Amino acid sequence: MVNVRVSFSRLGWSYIFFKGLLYDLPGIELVDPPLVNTDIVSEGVKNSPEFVCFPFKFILGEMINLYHNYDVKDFMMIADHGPCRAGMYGVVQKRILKNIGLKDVRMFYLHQDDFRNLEWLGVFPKLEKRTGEKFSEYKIIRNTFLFLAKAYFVERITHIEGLVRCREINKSMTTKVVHTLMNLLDNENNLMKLSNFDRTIDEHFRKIPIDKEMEPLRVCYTGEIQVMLEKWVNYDLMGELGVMGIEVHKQYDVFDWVLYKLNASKRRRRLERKAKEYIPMDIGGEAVWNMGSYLESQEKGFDGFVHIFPFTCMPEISLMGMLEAEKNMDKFYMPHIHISLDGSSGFEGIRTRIEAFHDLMVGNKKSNPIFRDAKYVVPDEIKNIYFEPKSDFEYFVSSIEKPMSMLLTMLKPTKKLDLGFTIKNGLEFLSRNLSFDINSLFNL
Amino acid sequence: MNKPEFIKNNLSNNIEGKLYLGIDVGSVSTKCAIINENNELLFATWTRNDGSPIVSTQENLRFMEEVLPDNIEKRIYGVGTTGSARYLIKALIGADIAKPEIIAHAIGASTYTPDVRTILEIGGQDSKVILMKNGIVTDFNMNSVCAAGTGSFLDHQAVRIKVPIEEFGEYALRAEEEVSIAGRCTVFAESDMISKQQEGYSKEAIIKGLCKALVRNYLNNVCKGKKLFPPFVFQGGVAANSGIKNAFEEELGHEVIIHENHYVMGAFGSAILAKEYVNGQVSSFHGLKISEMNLAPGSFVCPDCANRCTIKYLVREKDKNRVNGKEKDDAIFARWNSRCGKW
Repeated sequence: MVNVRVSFSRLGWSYIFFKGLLYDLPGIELVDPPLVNTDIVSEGVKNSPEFVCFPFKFILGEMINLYHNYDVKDFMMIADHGPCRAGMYGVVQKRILKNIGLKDVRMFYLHQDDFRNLEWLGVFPKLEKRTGEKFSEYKIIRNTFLFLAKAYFVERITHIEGLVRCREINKSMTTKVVHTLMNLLDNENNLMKLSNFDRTIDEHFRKIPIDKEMEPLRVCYTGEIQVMLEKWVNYDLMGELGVMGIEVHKQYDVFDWVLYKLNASKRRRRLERKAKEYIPMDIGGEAVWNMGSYLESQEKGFDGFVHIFPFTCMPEISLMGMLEAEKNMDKFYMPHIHISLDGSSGFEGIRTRIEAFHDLMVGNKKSNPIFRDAKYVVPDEIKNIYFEPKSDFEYFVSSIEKPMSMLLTMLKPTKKLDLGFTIKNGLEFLSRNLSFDINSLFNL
Repeated sequence: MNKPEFIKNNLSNNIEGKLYLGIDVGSVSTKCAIINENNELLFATWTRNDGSPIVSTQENLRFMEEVLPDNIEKRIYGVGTTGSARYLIKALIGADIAKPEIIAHAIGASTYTPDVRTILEIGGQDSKVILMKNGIVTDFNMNSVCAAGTGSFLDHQAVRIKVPIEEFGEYALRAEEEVSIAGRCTVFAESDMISKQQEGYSKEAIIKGLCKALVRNYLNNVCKGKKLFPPFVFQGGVAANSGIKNAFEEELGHEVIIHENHYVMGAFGSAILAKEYVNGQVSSFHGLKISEMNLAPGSFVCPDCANRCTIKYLVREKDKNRVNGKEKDDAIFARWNSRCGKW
């Protein structure tokens, strides 16, 4: 039996946890998606509609590249019914791929409308049908936890990366440590060992010699999630800001998004409450939460707000309009910069803007009393790594605490769950190997 | 090759004190300025770029060598660069500091008009607005995805309707009738202009309409509803166009100040920045001899770590084939742009 080669879009480090979701399933061979480069992007741009958001273009380019050079014909994509058109990208991309002559492409959609309704489980029966193998329930449950755990650690590593880079004494040491950690995480598939990975992260970051007295400028770094993930697209802006000596507080990664779709993200609920006055509902992209994090970081006394989004991303442009409006000038006093990305390789224009933005923040810090008097607080992550190392007991407590708080948040849902739909999906999944057709029950 | 033009030359053998050089390498032109310790502009040149910023910088330096007194090279105590090619030129001439043009323009403008609140700057390929308060930049914005209404666009239209760009302003002032032209996009503006020409409007009216459209586009696209306070300072190459100045004054309802040296304000600002940065230390300036060399730029991706920095380098033309990135060679004049500082 020939294995089915499956792959997905790389999206920065996200391929690590997508690999976790399909780890060790019989008949499936996972292919590491290659790094995005100019050729991939230009191939995607060539075959995309002109005014579609940029993530669509580079994901399409990645698929074409995987098809031609890595012999991959089966792709996993997300599908959604949200307010953002990104939810339907997989379907459109499949059509485009068929139209340009790649007839045997198959797409497996991971339905992320609401993870609680178990619709996403539908991806496994489809994969079983494709491979002709049976996946055991145990493996599927284990892989779900692998996915969640790996996504959590990827988010944590990238978050700490942004905080540490400005303090490093030997340049580019942080990048090396991050790559070592990601390699470790990619190869670790034992859930018991993963539960202790927090400690490994802290130990590796502790090896970086840092400037302990430093009180750097703080920046809230946020934007549309897919361009934030992919380094080629955003010119590794996070690293660029870090090298300038700015502490970057990265706001989102995929894990946070998954939590939100499980209705378990306390943080996003808090941000939504903050942003309610300006944006009362999810309008697509990350606009609501970006507004929330702007207000939150302004309260904390941050020095700036860096906002990146794909050219033609309507929700993020609405947010930009709100922040720049004349009548809101007094409410939004923290400096903000908006960078729209469309895959041009000219970094010079963006460098000019962020350097000028840096000078602006330095000037503010010197002379503007609002920013001069703001008290600098060392972030918890840095404190735990370099100043007050956690004890074994504290590590144990935090490894229990996080899932528990998730569960508690889930028990107080803000969105209604369609229980009948959930039961139907669950039963459909469990009865997938029986001859009895469960759907006939619902059609009565 | 375009010859550099003088804008100002007050330098002579008997001027005392330290001198500072600022170079602004923009997308369309290269500007040089020399100041003394009291921030007075003594000397300024302007050249149109013909493709290569290196060649036009060398041309400028060669020109300076010709016209300036002999001992001038030793009296330059600091060099600053700005503009889109600032890192390239910094590596080329061994400048002390490379700062983005936004800061350089802000410094330049606030030296002449200390209480300036709004700087309108329209250059060859970008337009920006800088808001200041008490001599400190509080906010800025550059055109993000569109170059409609910049100097290049005017240049192009001037060629198309066969009016010398220098006389653009006079034409606009002579206009007696009003024409409305779409300024949102260069292509739309051009097709509007063509149809207006066919409808029989005079060149003067069309140019005036174009100036108004450009200003409208600038205020909508670049200023984006920011609150603009007087006094206004208008600088950059387009400020030479009095039609645009008039249109700005009409739209803003306030006088717009244009300094006589608006051309070189970026270079002037970067000279001041260099002066502040050097602060008595020794400058890393290579001297004016750079103009004799034949240099070519290049780049490769550093394979050593995951940052994948694009390393840029300058080599002597005759040795260009010998460089492959890995080896360290005498031929390499300068290398920069790595995150770790290795190259």
